[in-house]
Amino acid sequence: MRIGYYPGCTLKSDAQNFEISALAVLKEIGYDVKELSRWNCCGTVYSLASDDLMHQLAPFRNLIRAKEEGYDKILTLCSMCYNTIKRANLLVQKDKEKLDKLNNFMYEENTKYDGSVDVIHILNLIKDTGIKKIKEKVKKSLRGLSFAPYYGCLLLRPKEIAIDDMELPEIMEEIISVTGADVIDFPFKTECCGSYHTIKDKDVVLDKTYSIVNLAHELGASAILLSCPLCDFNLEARQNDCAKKYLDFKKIPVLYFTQVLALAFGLPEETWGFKYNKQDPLPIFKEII
Amino acid sequence: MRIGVFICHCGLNIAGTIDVKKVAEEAKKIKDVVFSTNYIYMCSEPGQQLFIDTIRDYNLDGAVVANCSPTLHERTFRNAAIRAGINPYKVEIANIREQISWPHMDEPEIATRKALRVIETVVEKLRRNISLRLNKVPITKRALVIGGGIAGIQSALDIADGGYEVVLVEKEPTIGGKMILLSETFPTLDCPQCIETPKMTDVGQHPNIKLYTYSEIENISGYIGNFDVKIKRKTAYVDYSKCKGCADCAEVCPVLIPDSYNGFLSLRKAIYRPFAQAVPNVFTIEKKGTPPCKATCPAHLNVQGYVAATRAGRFDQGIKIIREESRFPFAGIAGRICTHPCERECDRKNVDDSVSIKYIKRFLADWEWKTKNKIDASFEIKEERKEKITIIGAGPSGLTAAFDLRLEGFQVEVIDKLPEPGGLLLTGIPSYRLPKDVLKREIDFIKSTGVKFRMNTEVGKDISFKEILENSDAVFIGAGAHKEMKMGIEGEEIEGVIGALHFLKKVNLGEDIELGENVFVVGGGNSAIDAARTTLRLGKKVKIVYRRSIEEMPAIKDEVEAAIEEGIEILFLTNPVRFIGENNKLKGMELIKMRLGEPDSSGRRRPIPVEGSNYIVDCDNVILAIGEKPELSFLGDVDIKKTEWGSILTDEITLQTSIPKVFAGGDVSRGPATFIDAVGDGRRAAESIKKFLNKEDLYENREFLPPFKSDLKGYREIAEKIDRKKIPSLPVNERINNFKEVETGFNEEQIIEEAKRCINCGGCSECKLCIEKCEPKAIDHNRKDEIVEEKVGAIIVATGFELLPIKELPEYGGGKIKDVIDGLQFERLLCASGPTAGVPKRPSDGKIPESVAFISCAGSRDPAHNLAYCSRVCCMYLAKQAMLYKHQVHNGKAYIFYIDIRSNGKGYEEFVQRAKEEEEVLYIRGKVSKIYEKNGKVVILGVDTLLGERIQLEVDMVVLGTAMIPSSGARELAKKLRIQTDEYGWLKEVHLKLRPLETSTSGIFIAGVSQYPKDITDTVSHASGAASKVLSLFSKDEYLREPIIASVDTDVCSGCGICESICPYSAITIDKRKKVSVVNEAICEGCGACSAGCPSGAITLKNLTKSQVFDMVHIITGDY
Repeated sequence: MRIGYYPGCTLKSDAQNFEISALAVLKEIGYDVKELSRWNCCGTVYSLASDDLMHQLAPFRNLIRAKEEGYDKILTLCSMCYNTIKRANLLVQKDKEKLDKLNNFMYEENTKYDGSVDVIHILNLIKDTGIKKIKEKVKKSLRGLSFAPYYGCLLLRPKEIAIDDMELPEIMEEIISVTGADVIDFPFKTECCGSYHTIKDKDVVLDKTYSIVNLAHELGASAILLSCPLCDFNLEARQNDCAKKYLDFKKIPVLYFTQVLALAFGLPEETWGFKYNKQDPLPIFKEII
Repeated sequence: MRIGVFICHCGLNIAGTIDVKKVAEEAKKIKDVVFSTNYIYMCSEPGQQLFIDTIRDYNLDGAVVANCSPTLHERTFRNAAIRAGINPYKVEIANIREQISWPHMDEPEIATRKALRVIETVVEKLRRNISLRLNKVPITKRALVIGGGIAGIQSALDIADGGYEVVLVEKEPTIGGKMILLSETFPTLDCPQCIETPKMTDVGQHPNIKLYTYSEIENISGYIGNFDVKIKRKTAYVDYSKCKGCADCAEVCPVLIPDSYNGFLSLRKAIYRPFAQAVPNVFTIEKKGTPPCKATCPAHLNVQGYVAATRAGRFDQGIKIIREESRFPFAGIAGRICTHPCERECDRKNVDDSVSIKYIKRFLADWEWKTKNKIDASFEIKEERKEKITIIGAGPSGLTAAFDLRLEGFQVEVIDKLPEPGGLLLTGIPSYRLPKDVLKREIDFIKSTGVKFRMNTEVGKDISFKEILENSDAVFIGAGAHKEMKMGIEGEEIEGVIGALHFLKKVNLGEDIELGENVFVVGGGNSAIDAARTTLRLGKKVKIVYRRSIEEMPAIKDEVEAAIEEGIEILFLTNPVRFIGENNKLKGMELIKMRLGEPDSSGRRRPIPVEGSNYIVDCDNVILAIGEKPELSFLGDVDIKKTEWGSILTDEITLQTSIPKVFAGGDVSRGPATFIDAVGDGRRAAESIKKFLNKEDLYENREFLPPFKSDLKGYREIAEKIDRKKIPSLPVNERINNFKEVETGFNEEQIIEEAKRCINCGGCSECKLCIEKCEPKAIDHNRKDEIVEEKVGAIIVATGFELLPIKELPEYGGGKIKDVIDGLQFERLLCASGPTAGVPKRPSDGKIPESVAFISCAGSRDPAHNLAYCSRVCCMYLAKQAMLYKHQVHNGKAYIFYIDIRSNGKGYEEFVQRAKEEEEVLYIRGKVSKIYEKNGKVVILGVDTLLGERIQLEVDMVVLGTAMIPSSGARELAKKLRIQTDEYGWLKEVHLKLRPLETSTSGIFIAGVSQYPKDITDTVSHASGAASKVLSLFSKDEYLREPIIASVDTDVCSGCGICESICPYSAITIDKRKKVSVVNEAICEGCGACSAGCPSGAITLKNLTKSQVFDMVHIITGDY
């Protein structure tokens, strides 16, 4: 089984901590994934307009790339990339006419896509490996720490691509629990982070950041764990603006769940990617290290 | 033919588009049409009179009325035809309104031409119509009402009061349905118990009503006027006719179960009456099946029974269940050494740890001995049989077989080469685990039944197996597996290397054994641990060598822990390579370290030697405990089939060997196994031998089968928070130099606490404590389900509804938040006879809530939950519940989150206004998006659309107005009745407006919420309506049916059966002798599906034959 890794833009810029830690963790549990040698933008919000085939070209082209390089599966880390490419894949798998149209439009490509590549997200890949197997890799117990898992929306909606139950997902909790840390029952784990309002209407996001981070504090979380670079931007980077707007706002470390796994697996410090985090997470791990 | 054509204007509906005068003129030109006219309203009184007069005056023998849809007025004109004196089936309708005038409103010319064409077509059909007479079907004037809620009750009473007999079937133990569970009904705030119980009593006492509660419909066949119904009366294990409802039984029942009648907010006993006013007022026992403990026990002991008796402090009943009911003689032995597969399967382990079943059994046996100084069980041997059965081996399997067979009256003799009976119980198990006096007293009990023992006799030496065969009517071989396995390494024959069983036997029989100071034991099973701990007690230094790690050790975990506690070192991942001797005496041993590789066939990881890790230890003795095999040489030259592993081959179920009168069990046929496996085998073989000697089939009607897996789960959610305790044991320094029993046992309080941990997977535990209390002797745990047959002429289905489980609403907590409940549960909290005596309290902590939020449309009106409809009653009952809450908690805050308020009944709007204005219930318009729990409060995320703001509200409790859904089982019932359901599962009426009580199957009617959500007012009306349909049916002696049904041309029919498989009403059968289709004219509804499917055109509908249809097609397509 060959798994191709599709990074997407943010993983190479703002979310390098996600990539470094994820690839290290995957290698440790036995997956040597190779990055697609050529890839383009996943389409982002433009691809969410599903009744317009033109807007599916971006993710479609990535599927062609994957097929061309002989991969059975594409692995994505970023939730948006997962959402667009997976939905484009489902669209062409269900509707042969649309598949043909897209292939014909992309006539300059040497490879025709046939719907045979699977799109998976890292959370599913890790869970399918087997919780027992991952538990064996834990070298440092994170007992004493308490994390609030945060899923955001793109991994769970629409229903046909959801990686877990849309209202009460548990996949991240199951995976993080192997480290020995406490994973709290976080009611806001699927609450909207404000998404792209962060570009033009920052205040909408700051309100959400405020309420989500506050609840995490109230429930005793040491940090929020997530799996989406946009959520990370809103919940982590925006904390500085939030502190300016709300004087009683208390910051909290926010990490990609793979960073915590890398630390717990006893992997080298560079793989944790802490230097890319906007709120320094190191203090909460002081006792463990 | 002389045909008349009558064209209706239908006001402007037809005449506004179609040129009716022109059509009438043109119609006259059609062949056989002798009269043609048009009139403004044909269906009116003068219109019909015109119709009748014309037929008479013009001597017409057929008529076509061109008007609206035949569903509206076909019947009208056919009746008029009868009055006019012609056969009604010579009248046809041409629909020129819905089919022509309305669709072609803007194309009058086309409409006119088309109307004429259609009339020509219908005339063509009419030409070949034959006169038909309505079919007459006799009627059995008895009714069946399915469902005993208020709808079923109302229908039943109406029909019964009308003078006819009613059979009322209800699946619960009582009638009353959901209405009896409510606290007060809107808008009058009547007490539903007060208004419904008189009706329930009427039903119970009515001379015309036969009430079957706790019953379900098994099967229905037949047709209107003639239904054959099979009703399954589920056993309540109580004879309802004897039960007086005194409740003495429930007082002593030790099993508690969440009470579904109180919304699972309180507990009831396994023997129960739903509520005090139940009709009939009797008790029912709920058994769910065989619990996992009993299923997996090879002897199928009633584990849950004796655990429940212990929980109630009734140790006498507990030991009685083991000794007498389960006929198990080894309570004290098993309570000490059994490997307890029951505890492995015990569902309590999914909460914390399994119940200490073994120790409970031990406590009961010890208590019995302490208080009575004897084994207090008596058996009556009914008749002495002359057959002689020989049992080879006085181990657990042989002893059990002997016991069981002796109690059946057979002459039983047990032969064993040891001086005393017990087998490995005597020689293998050390007395610090199983004291010799406990062993002796239970074996003495077996002896007391008359089993003969011939000890010190070795088969194959003192007596031959052949001789035993010749002198016995049946033989059971329970010889065990005693041939100790060798490692096959160098030095094994050196003096000092001994087998574990050999060693243990010497010690247990009190014989001398020479043992050096430094001893090693090789192995990881129970024998290894026994050998090591015995060696320790003989004052020697001992270590254990085991080739895998502690996780893979097959010995009982408690034993391993005890050994380690006693200071015995276990060298894990170590294996002997060779034994080193000097002057043929053992001096030392070479060991090698192992590592674990891939799993082998047993699923455990294979040990692999680590190269170069060898080392040598000094030792005086090595005891090998690496396994045993059966030794079958005692069978002599008798031919008996063996397995490939060298044990005796037996049938899996009957344990019969290749020699019909010889049976075998225990280690001799299984290979080394456990005590309880041997006991189970002995029991099964005894039953087989009994059947064999009675010349019965060995497989049928067996009481004892191999252990199986039970799917039942216990009531995990109400498990009491009690930890499993470790059994008190002697401290290490008091026990390692003697053979005193190590485990000292639990005391009374401790054992009752332990028994309380059982979560009652089987429901009723069959502890039988209820039987002693029942004065009228109404309880019979062996009562079976019963099937009764009834003949009825009409059926009313009133199966009611359920509420959508909160589990289906993950956005509202998915059922995990204790203080988020549904409407019915809140009713119980408000009800005086409910779990809180009518005071609303939070389920989580019992406090009275200071604020309650009521959420409308929880699931209803939501296509995403596949429930797009409105449940109709929630707006009203939430308003009511909010009001009732405020009546009790004056300063409490009541919020209702709504989308719309539907208060459209009599007094309803005023009621809602009262809630808003007088009771100060706060109405917030906006659907709630999420509910979660924080710090003991319930948080609501919603929106106030009138203010345009999001709301986040913290309240003490939330009541969800969950959607009404059809009763579970309604769909299955509909299939049995052959009636339709809609996409949600509600029973389908024929016509929503004009025929809301009838189904597409004649004779079957629907009443109440089974058809669609409605409140009590509408339900009662609906039910009375259904009853009136039945009464109207019964007012005639015969039922007249439409004759447009299928008919078979037997000359053409080949009996292929396609029509039979197509017919949705099962109205067609194939006459096997004549090989033709036969239509049951009473059932056929004339749908025509058979006609479409028939490949030869043999079956057609009367007056709609294939040739009629084809001719119509010719004409309508202009193809002539």
